[in-house]
Amino acid sequence: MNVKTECRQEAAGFTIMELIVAMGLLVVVISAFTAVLNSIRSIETTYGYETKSIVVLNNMIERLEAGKSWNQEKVSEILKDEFTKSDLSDQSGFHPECHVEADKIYAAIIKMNGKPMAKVEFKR
Amino acid sequence: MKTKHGFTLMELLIVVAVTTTVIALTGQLFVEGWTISHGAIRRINDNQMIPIIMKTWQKALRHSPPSSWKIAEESFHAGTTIVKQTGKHLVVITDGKEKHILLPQDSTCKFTIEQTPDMTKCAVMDFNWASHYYRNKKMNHVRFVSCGSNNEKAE
Repeated sequence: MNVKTECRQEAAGFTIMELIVAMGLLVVVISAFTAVLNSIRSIETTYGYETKSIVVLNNMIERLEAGKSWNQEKVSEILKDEFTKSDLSDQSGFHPECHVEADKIYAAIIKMNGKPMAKVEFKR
Repeated sequence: MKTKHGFTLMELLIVVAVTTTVIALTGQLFVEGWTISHGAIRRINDNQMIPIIMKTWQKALRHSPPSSWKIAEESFHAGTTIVKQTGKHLVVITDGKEKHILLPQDSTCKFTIEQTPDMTKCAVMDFNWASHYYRNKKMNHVRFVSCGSNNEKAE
């Protein structure tokens, strides 16, 4: 009896499934890379605004210390003046804010989401 | 059963084209990523210098009365202290001792003496520097106010 066996040869190259998985991985890696780059830029931009806000508040404190006396109106006036002279005033979404709570005067640079970018408080 | 071995010319061309495109895009992405992150780190470093410059400026004038201030030849004189920009450095000379601070790229310092509405004299250093981005650059400006050692009023 002559038995003929047939050996099925493995297909060379990639299957469509392997290709899809590889492309999916590539997309994930590129997305992660892009997200990291965006985060770095976002951190850098925020840090830049934060530095400028701190400089504005520092200038305000320096001018307040030079004056003989100060109150909320004075703090508010100097804060607005320093803010206007800084290039933060050219950026939309930033504004200076000064308010009184209990025995404290708060001066801050507020960012677009309503939260303070930098803040100082004075005891009255 | 006859099986096919190897690639046809068309398959080979497609594979080469796809591989070249993927490598080129990945390379470009990597270069852009490197440039963007490197630029961002450099701008963060520049920003870190701002509080140092501000502190140096205010400290230099801390013990000087406003009456001793004058601006001559683009340098600020406060008694025995001189503050000036020399190329890439901010130089503070106090009693002959020099302190050099390396400034960010394309920086300029301009000194003025301001009189506030309540007649207080303040020395102002207007500081500009450039932030370099991937394809453009942006100029930044901050001003550092120093009001000296006392509440001396302007005449």
